[in-house]
Amino acid sequence: MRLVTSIYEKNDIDNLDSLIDYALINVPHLSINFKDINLDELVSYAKEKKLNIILSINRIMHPGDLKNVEALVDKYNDLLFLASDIGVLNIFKEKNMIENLIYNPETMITNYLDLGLYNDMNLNAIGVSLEITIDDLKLMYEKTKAPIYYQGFGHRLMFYSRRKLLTLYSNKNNDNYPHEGFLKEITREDYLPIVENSEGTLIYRSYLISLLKELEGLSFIKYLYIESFNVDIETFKKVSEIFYDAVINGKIREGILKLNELNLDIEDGFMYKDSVYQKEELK
Amino acid sequence: MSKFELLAPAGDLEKLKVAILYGADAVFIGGLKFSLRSRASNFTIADIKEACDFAHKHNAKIHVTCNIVMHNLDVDGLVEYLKELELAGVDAIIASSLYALKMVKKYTKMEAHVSTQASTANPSAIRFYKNEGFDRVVLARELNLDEIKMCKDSTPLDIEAFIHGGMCVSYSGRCMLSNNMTNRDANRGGCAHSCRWCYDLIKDNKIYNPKGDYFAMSSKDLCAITLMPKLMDIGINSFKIEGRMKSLHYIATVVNTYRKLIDEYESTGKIESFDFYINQINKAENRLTSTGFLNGDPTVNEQLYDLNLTCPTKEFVGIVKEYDSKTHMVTIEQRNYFIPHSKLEVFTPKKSFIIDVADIYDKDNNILDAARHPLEIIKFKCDTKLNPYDLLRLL
Repeated sequence: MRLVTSIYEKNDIDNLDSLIDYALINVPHLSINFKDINLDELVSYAKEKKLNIILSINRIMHPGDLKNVEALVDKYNDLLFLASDIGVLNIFKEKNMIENLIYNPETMITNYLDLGLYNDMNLNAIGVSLEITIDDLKLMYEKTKAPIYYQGFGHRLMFYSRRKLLTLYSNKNNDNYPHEGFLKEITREDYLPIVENSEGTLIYRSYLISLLKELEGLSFIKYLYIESFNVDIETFKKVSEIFYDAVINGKIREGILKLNELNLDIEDGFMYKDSVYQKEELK
Repeated sequence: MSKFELLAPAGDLEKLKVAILYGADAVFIGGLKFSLRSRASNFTIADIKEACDFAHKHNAKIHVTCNIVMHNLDVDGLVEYLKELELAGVDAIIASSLYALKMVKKYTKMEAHVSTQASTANPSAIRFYKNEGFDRVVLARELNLDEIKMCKDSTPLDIEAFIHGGMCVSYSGRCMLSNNMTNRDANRGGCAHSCRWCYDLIKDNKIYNPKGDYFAMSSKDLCAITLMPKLMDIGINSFKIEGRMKSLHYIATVVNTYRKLIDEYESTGKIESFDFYINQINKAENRLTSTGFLNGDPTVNEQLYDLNLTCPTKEFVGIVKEYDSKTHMVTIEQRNYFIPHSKLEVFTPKKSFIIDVADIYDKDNNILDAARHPLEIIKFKCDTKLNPYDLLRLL
């Protein structure tokens, strides 16, 4: 298992320093959640630090995006990429670079038969949906032996729209609301992180997810991804250290204790509870 | 026959027949397995066979959705089910799962259509599906006209585009709001429409939305009437109307409006009056509409902030079941309240006209002072011959 850490800017590398195994750099305008960085400089900096690099280009691509994707892939053909759009997968296939691609269609791979078909493509790794149970995840691996990419820590994405919903709401009220904040459904208590950028709007779950206590049973995962979005840097440094020690040095039990001491708002998500089709099934 | 397919939704056999009679070239339906829209009244295999028989008799096709995002427990029996659908006469399967689509091609002769749940939005993605041997791609609803043209121009594959109905505010298939807030999985047919709930917008403990006003994400329904000539010029193969859970009257009205519009543009090369078609649609559409992404990124005008804002619709009072040419008595099934001595609009697949209704009777010929009960059989005299599936609207 390798550890993948989300990187939005140069400071993230400086702050996390030796705790990064793979740096997942969010490419401006081609990934869903990004900062306006100079990509060339950041990649060079990560290379100087001898980090393994994955470039995230995980947007749904529209026709005009394809030439930018191709140019980026050609330019950084020595790096790994993370993509969510089947059209990007196809570009890697056509360039005979499929082994450079981690394909993660977020919500869409939820059974072993689909996973098996993607596994046959010889991808570097395949992202499995976070909306399945741990048992389902294990069964999918047992049936396919696929190299799996999976989120191990952080806020999980639950909504991705091309609409700029915060700008539109500002316009509706002739006001200028922030482009990042929280939504609170009026009958509930939890706060859902929301962020808008030039490419659309994202909403994350209110709570954090952690697979640390499940990690021993998930050693088959090829890449475990930890997400820093909406986690303050001091906390994320501690979390990175815990996960680095657990994943790279095998210190899981100690990590669980240390993570508990941080008192984070951690929930299990769908790890032990499958979603249902209909209201009538909610007993 | 038109070179364009008008593809309508149907939640049951009656709606399916109405959709075809009112102008649909194909109808998409959900079976009891593997289909989203779990609350739509889905079809048994026997229903699907009857649907296919009816459709083929009228030169129409039946597409069956197998578009849930299957979990491990859901996959059992897929191939057997696909074979049953083929035996029933189904023409095409709509799915987002790569496995399901491949099984369609491997084990049946039905067409494999890539569902909009896959959010196909670029020529490279279309190329991928073409190389897999699939027959059609339903485009993501986030594309504008130029992008749709780029997709269509890039491929010989059939391209289907949405022209009317509800729009997900998220990319289809990528929304887990319902899943996370209610445990009901939108990708398995359980969407609770959490995007239409009311939210406070908060940063640094400050609520930004004004008091009494809430942040909302919902979008207006799509209505592409004024853009149909451009979509037809692009060469879209199939125009899809969303709404398997919509009413019979809605389906008849929307299908018939687009049918006439497509036929007019195809035969004359122009549209005399878009207002005519917009007025027709408004007789059934009770949600506000917009052109979605078709004219570019949505503005405030494409968003729906007040869910109570609906357009008044003409009241649908009944559907004709039979007509006795000797007695001139028409038998209808009531859908909404009306009283004797009313003027009704008769809406048929070919034309609309007005009739005066005098006395009305129940099925036992007892005179009534009002038609009060939905699905009640009502009779009245009408000198103009009416046909089964003609619809009646209160003026």
